[in-house]
Amino acid sequence: MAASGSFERGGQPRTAPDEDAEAYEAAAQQQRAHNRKQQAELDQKQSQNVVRSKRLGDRLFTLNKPRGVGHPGQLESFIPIWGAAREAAADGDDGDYVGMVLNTGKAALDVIPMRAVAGAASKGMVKNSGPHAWRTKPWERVKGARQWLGEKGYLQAGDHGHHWAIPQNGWGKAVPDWIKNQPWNIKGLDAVTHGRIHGRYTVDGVRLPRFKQGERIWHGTPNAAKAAVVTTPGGFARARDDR
Amino acid sequence: MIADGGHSAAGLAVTLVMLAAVATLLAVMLFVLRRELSAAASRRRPSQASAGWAGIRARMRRAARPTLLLVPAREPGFSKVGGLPELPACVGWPTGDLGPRIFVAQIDLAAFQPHVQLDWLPSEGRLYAFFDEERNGCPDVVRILYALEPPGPPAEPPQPAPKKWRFEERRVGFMKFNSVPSPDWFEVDYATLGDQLDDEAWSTFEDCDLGEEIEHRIGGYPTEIQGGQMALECEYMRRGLTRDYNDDVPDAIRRAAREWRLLLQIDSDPALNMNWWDGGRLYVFVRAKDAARGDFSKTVTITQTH
Repeated sequence: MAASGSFERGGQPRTAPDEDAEAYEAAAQQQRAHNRKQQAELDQKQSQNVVRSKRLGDRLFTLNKPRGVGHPGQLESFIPIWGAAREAAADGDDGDYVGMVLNTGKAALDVIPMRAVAGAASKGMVKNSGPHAWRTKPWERVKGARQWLGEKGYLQAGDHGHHWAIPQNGWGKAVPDWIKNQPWNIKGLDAVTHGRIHGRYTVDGVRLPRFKQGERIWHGTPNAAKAAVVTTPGGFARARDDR
Repeated sequence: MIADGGHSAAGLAVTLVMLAAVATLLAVMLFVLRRELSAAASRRRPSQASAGWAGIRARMRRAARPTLLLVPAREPGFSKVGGLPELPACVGWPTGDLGPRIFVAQIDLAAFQPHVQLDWLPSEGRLYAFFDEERNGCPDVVRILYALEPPGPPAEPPQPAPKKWRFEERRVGFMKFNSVPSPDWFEVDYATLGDQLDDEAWSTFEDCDLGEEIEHRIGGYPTEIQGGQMALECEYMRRGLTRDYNDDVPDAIRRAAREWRLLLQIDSDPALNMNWWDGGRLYVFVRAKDAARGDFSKTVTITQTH
């Protein structure tokens, strides 16, 4: 039986030629060229983003520019519309599209209190002169708060002005009129709704019960205050979370 | 790396969209602000405003009526606010929807009529006012009993009232003043009037200045807490209707409303433990012709609070 393999060849290598060597080498060259190009692009991009760099020994430490708009700071997040809008943009950068949608909605909600503020600014946000009593006598030349609110358009004909945050009586008696008889504390309501906030009310012969606590808050609170309650803690929690 | 590039592009797009949205909102807010300022300025045109006020003042002067404030009595008599009613033996305690009504006040008409003639009221007899919280919004939230029979001793209610409806007693006398209606009585839209209030022509009202004391009263005009023309409201309520402020008031209702008179105004009174919701008031009205013939069964009560 004849021997075979390198033993047969006396330990000499086989001399058969490698037919793929050339193609393999070409492909390797092409890949190396691609890698070099890609690295160059990366280096260029990084060099554009570098704010500051410092070499320590044989290593280069760099501080890159932040990407996108970034998240708002804790105080910035309280700025109506802007805080939530920037948060939404930052969420988009991060790929957090759920957060982006929620914050966009929050920015839209912020419009409500801001619109109220803009409207109030145009009418005069506070009664800063004359008596602050709710009503003055008919023959007095100066206007009480009720008349002033009607004149400025806060209360329409037939509206009842409801003291929603600080009541006129009870514990609110200790609060000066110049604080509680101001537009921010008054919500215009129809007589029935106002009556049902304070007790039972009958209208057109139908006895209606007093509003439940949640309904009293809902009907008795201005829309701007409701929106502020929804958005402000949300912005605060989000800002804390992002930090 | 390709994914990073996509994120950046998306982020930039979102940022631009959000900035555009914010800019649009600010533009809208500025537009609203400018429009409101211009509307406010047009509302305050001096000629229009001062003409309006002059007319209202003239109407207020012409419409003045006598009113009697219920003040602490120097010589206690029958009339009082709070406490227990001194009902004649033949008159029972009136009941409400869920039990006995709450006693509010009793008035001796003969005590003031010789000196102060309210020509639409009988010159003798006694009025008793009873309240039922369950009937708020109905014309008879306060029920008035009228009796010519001699009063009895203070009567206890058939069953004890809750603590918040137990009022301290104050015997009252009467102080006469001229009462002028508020601009609400003339359905003035304050938004159409400006700040043009001058000193002239207001001096005739100075005698009426009563300060800020509690206002229980008979006759004259109500001191409203909220807006609304109460005589019209009375006519609507008596007809079982609810007023829609967007609709014009029919002439028939407007004519009929002239008949209503303020019979009794009861204020919140901390000293008596009397608080109508949030510092509110009860306004009991009666038609002059009904009152003149001693019929107090068709009174209408309006309630207002803060």
